[in-house]
Amino acid sequence: MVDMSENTALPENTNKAQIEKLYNGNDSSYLIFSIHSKRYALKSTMIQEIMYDMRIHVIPFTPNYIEGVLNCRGVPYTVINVLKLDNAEESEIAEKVFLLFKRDDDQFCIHISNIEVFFEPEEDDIFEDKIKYKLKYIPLFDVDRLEDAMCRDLGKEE
Amino acid sequence: MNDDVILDNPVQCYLDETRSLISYIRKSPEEYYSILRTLSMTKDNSHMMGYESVYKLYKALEDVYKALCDDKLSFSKNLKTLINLVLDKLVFFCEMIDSGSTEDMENENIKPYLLYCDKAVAGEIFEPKHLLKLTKSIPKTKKRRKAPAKKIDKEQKDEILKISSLKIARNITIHEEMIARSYIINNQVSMLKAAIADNDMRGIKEACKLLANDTQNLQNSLRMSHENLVNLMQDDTFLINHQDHHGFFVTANDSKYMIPSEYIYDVICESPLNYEVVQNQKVTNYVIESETGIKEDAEIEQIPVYSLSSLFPDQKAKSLNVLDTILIVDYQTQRIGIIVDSVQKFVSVIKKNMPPAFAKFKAVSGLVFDEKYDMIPILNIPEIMRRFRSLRGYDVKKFEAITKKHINKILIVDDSSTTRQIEHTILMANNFNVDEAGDGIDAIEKMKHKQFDLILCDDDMPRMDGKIFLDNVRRMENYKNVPVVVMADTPLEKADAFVSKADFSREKLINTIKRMLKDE
Repeated sequence: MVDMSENTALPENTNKAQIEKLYNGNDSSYLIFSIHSKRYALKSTMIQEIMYDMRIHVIPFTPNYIEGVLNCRGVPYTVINVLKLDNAEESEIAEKVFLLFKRDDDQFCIHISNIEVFFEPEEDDIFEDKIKYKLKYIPLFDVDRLEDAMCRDLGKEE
Repeated sequence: MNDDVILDNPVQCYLDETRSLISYIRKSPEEYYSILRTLSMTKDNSHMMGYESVYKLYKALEDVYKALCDDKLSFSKNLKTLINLVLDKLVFFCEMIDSGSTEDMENENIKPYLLYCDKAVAGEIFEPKHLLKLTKSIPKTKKRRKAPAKKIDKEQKDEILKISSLKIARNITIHEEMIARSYIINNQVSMLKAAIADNDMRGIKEACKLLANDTQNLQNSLRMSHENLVNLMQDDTFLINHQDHHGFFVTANDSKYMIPSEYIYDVICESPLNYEVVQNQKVTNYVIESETGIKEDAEIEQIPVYSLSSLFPDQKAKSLNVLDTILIVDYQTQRIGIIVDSVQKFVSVIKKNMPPAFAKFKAVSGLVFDEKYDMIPILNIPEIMRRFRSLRGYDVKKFEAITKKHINKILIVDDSSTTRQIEHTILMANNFNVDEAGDGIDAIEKMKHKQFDLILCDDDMPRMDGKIFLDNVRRMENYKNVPVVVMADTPLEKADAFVSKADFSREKLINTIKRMLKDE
């Protein structure tokens, strides 16, 4: 039998920093994008691809925030309109820009207005729920809530 | 007896140790240094106990943790999944050791695990999902042993089917490329030998560079091929994913859908005027021909019909079809008719699964591509039938009110049955609802019971001629403003329009009627 307690002798700070680095990977850049006038930030490593001018194929009987699917080289990606999910008054997005997420559990993307910039913030400018860019705080986009909403709404029995 | 007791103790001790390590790694997978230390000990113990498969798995895990400690590797979500999968396999081995089935351990295929750990250590991109599939598809040894002979036969058949797949053909191409590359490497080795013999440093450097390059390429191809083969062997869904799906591309509400042929019993056309309403439900009289082929023996089945567009929230108004296209579908004991805007064609296509979030979504069972590379949803007919059944009468009426264009009702008043028949045919073909009357008295009787939108009448008729008839019509409150078109030799004073019988043409008649009804 092995006693595990004696093996955890690493200084706590070192370990945390190491884990943080390992989790975040080498690419520490962020993407700032906009939906209408609102800007969001997202870690670059979470992005699979950005697609423009794609045709959306409507899927019937889905919640209104699911605009349909787009064809990414033969793979369907669910297109989500975040404004409709949040019941915003002005929810139509004229621009055809789609942000595809890199995920193991699902294929989906969001309909956005514009790609603003890719940039690498200083360590001090990164917070739990936002980043600082040109003296402004940009909220981090929560991708997981989209997956939760979809699984909740598409699994519903009518 | 004593020996057994002595032997049992180290086994139990080893099992306790390895289980404790597994649970520790699961609990704190990021404690690299402490895990690494224990891993090395347990790995060596596995070797000493003769559990070579377990030893190899621990060795692979040790390499991963060494790389993590040396900062050569990042602890990612994929890596965590991989580690957990390796731990699952180790738990499985522990169960085998516990139950005394150690002989079967060496038959277990652990190569994919080792390969994926290698990939992780080399910093290559890997997808643990494939390994996940593999772990699910590996039958447990005990179950396999107990499986009946028939099942084994089926598995063997599946293997043959898989070998004939396109994926194998792709691997053969990769293998041919690798063979060619190995010949090049052989040549380069000869060149290197010659350069060494001549003490030609430049030649040695050149040959070494080329060798390193080609060996790397060969290794990459080998890895790719190996991964493909592993995926192919373990991917049970491969054949299912590549099955043909047959059905009709149909349109409804300006969108295209596929209805799988497995539910389609027949495709018929029916005039909207021929539907009947039974218990508030629109039905069509579907003729089932008898086996004898005699018309009189044919049976008529009343099938409820629903418009596919009625299920969609944004129904678009459209002009009424002369004939509706109906797909008669059945599921279990129920049969219904689905009215679609059009049936485009019968197709045989490969189905694409919906994104994972749609796993519990029943209305659409997948996607297919059409000739424009558009993604067309496949309607899940049992669910569509359920949705039709849950449509309330109110919804159906509302849908019909939105989408159904008003059909104008025309009364033909003429004493000649031939003229009435000709006019009737022309008007019917132009989507008008037509009634006939033999003279003015007959017409007024009909007008009392039904509101017509236009009257088409003759002048010279027995009992009541056109002029008196028109006077009577204008005196009727509900017919004051209803247009009257006279089709005779001479015009009538109170008529709204006149069509001369002398230079009669279909177009002139229809255009006049449409103009009067403001239906142009």
